[in-house]
Amino acid sequence: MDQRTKTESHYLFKSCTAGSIYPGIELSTQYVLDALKLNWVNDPRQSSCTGSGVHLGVVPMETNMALNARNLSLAGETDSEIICICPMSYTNLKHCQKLISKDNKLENNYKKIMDEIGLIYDIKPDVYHVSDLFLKHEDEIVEKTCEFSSNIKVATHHGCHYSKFFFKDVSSGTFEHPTVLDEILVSVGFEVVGYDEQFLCCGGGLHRYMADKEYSKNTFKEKFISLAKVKPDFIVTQCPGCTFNIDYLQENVLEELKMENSIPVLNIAELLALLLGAQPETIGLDMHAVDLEPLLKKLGLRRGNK
Amino acid sequence: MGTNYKISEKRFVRRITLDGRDESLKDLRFKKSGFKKCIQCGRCTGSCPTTVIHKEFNPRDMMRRFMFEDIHSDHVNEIIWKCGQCYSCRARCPRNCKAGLGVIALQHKSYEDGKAPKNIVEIGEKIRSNLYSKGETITPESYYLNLKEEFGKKTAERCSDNPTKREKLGFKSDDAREIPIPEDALDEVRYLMRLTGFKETNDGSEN
Repeated sequence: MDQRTKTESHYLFKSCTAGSIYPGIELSTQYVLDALKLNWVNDPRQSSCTGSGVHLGVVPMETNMALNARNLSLAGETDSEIICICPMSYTNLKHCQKLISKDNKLENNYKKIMDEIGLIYDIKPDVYHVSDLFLKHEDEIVEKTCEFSSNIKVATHHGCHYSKFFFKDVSSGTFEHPTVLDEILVSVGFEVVGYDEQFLCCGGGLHRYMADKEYSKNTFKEKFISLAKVKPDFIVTQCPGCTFNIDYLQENVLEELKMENSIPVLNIAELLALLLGAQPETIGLDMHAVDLEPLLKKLGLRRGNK
Repeated sequence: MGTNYKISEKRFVRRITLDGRDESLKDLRFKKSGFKKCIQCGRCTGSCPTTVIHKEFNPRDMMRRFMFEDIHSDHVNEIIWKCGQCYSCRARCPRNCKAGLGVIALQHKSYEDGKAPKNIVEIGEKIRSNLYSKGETITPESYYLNLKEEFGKKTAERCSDNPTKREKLGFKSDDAREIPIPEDALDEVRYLMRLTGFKETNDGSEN
């Protein structure tokens, strides 16, 4: 286990999509947690939440519940609350927690199974998305943010699996209009612009793209038309899967719509890591499909100031 | 249409209930979709991005089919794969129903019965194999698609070197994790997978 974990309080639940396509999102999250001097656990024993398989119908619910009972118990063992990089993990962990804890038969079954693998059954850890934690620490983020150019317009996209399943748990705004990202961005000095299709799905992540390209491309196209109308300098996402869709599908959609200007996309962890002093190349910003260089120039980050 | 409904008569009131309607599909998610509470108002359909793209699918229609056990036809087996699993239907339902949850229950049944579309079977094999061999569903290899063909020339130019870039960041080329899951932890994952329906083959598949 990571050496930084001796006085743990946040169990970092890693994302398969982030780790596969944007490892920088994971590194950025770690950077922000360290910059905020928060205690966190990096536990390699964690397995996938199985979300990408469950939401395609190819992984049984029983496997989903068993693996997440294990994941939750691993976090329970470290006496930490869970912070997820991916909204799909957030929903899957919370859903399994809810289904199992409300059914004595299921609970006894998973207690027995955890015992068989030598784990103490504890599925009670609170589950959050990392952006909930960033919002909670927005004052410290503002305090540590380096100076950057003013008058930069940002549009946000919150993940459906964050705001629509456990819709009562959205930590700012409502499921119709979550403002977790908006609040953080306004605090650090951006202008947040709204757009008509804010509620609309981005078209899903890589697994959805592979399963139904027509859905991914057309849904994203609708979203992008609406986004382009308000001319944001960039888009901030909460979810690695949404980041993929909005980033990778832009070239084809721009061509189809006969539009020229792409809109850069940053995950909230990547943006905050930048604002807190991370160098772009150390958080993999050169791995994005839409070139981020023009945005970085426009931001004009003055590291070391503040 | 199914026949296992109950008709009860109390004085002058004749009630038709949907008791027993969740028994034909044992998957917990089918019952949890809440179809018995559905009032067919259609807010789910008004919110569904799939309905706009695939006219043959809409969540209100799915809930009606759940009610009347109209879930076994080839047509249903075809349309269930159109759902994007965004849960807009769930968020806007005035009765707290979750049409999308019932849909994945049907998808899983279809997958288990060997009736899923070919591309889903292929993705399924990959995801299940990744889960069994690495404890992950998506791995970097899942994303090594033909970038030019799928996403365009500029994207391919910018991203074709990403496997090297990820290694420079300290990630392995074939693993989503910076620190791969330890072997003993992977044994636990495999044990749980076998216990919950994955057969004992190298990739956990049922073939």
